[in-house]
Amino acid sequence: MNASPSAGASGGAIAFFLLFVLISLGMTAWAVRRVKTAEGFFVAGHSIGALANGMAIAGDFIAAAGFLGIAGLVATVGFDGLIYAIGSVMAFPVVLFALAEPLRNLGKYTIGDVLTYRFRTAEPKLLAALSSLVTILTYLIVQMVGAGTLVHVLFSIPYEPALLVVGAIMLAYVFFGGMVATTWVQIVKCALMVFTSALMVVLALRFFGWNVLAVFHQASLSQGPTVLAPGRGVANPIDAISLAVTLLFGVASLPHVLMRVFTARNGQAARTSLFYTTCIIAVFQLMTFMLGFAAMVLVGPGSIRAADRGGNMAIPLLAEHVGGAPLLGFVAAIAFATLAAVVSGLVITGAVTISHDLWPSLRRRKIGEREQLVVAKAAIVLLCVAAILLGLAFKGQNLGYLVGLSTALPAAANFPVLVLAVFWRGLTKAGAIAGILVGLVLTVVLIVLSPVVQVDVLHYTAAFFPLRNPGIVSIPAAFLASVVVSLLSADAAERERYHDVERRILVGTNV
Amino acid sequence: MRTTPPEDLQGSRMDDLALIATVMRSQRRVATALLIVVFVLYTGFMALVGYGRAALAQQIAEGLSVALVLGALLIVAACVLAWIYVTWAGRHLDPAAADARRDA
Repeated sequence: MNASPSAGASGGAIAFFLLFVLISLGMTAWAVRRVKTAEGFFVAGHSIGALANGMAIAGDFIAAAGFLGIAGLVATVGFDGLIYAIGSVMAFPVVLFALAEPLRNLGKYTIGDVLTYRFRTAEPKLLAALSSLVTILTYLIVQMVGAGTLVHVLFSIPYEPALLVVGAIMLAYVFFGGMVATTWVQIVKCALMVFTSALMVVLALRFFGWNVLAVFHQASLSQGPTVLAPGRGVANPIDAISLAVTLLFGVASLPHVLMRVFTARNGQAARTSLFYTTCIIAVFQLMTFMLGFAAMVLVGPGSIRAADRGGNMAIPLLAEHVGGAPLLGFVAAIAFATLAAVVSGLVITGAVTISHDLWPSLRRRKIGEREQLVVAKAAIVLLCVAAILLGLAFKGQNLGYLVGLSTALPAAANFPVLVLAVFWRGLTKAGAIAGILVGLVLTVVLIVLSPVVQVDVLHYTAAFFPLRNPGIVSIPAAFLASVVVSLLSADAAERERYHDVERRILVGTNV
Repeated sequence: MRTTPPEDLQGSRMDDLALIATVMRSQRRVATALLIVVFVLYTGFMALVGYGRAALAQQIAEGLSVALVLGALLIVAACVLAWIYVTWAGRHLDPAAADARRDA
């Protein structure tokens, strides 16, 4: 064992980690019998109640970046971390108002089903599946690289074996337990994460005389009052607004988040689960923010950066400070659980998209349930192998552009067309295709031309497109393209058919 | 909207659809209004982050900057808005859906 601050706890960390893996593999074994049908494997048999589903959505969304990254950002630079925290909370009411219940009632397994139902043709679904898969892959790369780095820091395991461990565990969950195992792993992880954060808040407040304001006050005394206000994190005001728009609509249409409306029992449960998700993430982000400042005071930005340049060690080091080696071990194990659970959610979403949305169109025929399951399992193996290889390939690189792409892409390519498909009778097939294409192409082009690629990756002094976040341009452009093309290709029969769409949004299919 | 006599089967379906259209119109109104509130709150806050840093840096009490208060209020607002929608939907959408199912 070396002399790094976490070395004393790696025994405890590994013990907790093994316990979590054991419990989650037990749940996977229990799930095996329930995922023999496509409905069981893809959407957990539409059987998850509102609270459990709300927890699973929160679990799917709060990745290591949410558990460790935001607190680390707060602990090292202060308020700027809150900008991301707020954005991620505000996105979930957007899902609730605009998408959750309608999508659940219109679709069977995927958002692609919603587009197929609306337009009775496969093209818009194929494009949506394509943009979902690109989003999932970029997300997977970011998660795997983060996982390799984090497991290395937390457990002192080298990067490459760490990736293999994460890959093997996610393969086990998803391949054998399908959506049932993935869902319950998320629920357990979400509960553990919220519980640990609450415990740490209580333990940390002990050091501040049980006064929440003292945490912030002492942070401003030790690091200067600027830490309590926006700093240089977002320099350009227009970019700040564009970041807001991109986060709001991007998080609201992440494929692995929207996938979870279909695991809910019915439309009403999908709706209520988003209310729970909003509250869970809100409480969690408020706690994370407090913990960030507590780490700033109790551990100090210097020590946090020394342990990990990205600030990811703020929460683990704070845990060690307030609860000793056992709490550090516990937090490290939960961080690992988060990594494994989130990549599993991504892989199952990608596999369902491939086998349910893409495969039947590629084969140009209707696909039986058995074949869908076989294709899904092949896709899972493929995605897990791809995730490990991509994780190895992108090791140590600046992934800012991929992080940007993973929210900006769904924000422009998926959100506008889904909202219009649900709410606007005038949307036509051509309009939907135009919206997705414009969103997809414009997002990629604008990110390539932005400082995120031109300056950060290619090291030019200036970029063609000044904003780091393309949302303020790409989202309105996608809406506009959908509306204009729909108006040009208006179809009276399709408009009339919207009555049936409305009925199904309200009543669902299980009449 | 009651253009056909209720004893006519086709008419009763039209009537049903008209009622659903009314409920869904109000759903669109409520959802749009709440979306606009979320959008204005968050982009407004981010506009302040961009243009009003001095105002956000002011401290109301020791350790309590305007930025922190607004940030926390925004997070609480997300829950309140979600609660408003869920409550509204429970009062209006669920009974309408139950009616529509019964008539089907």
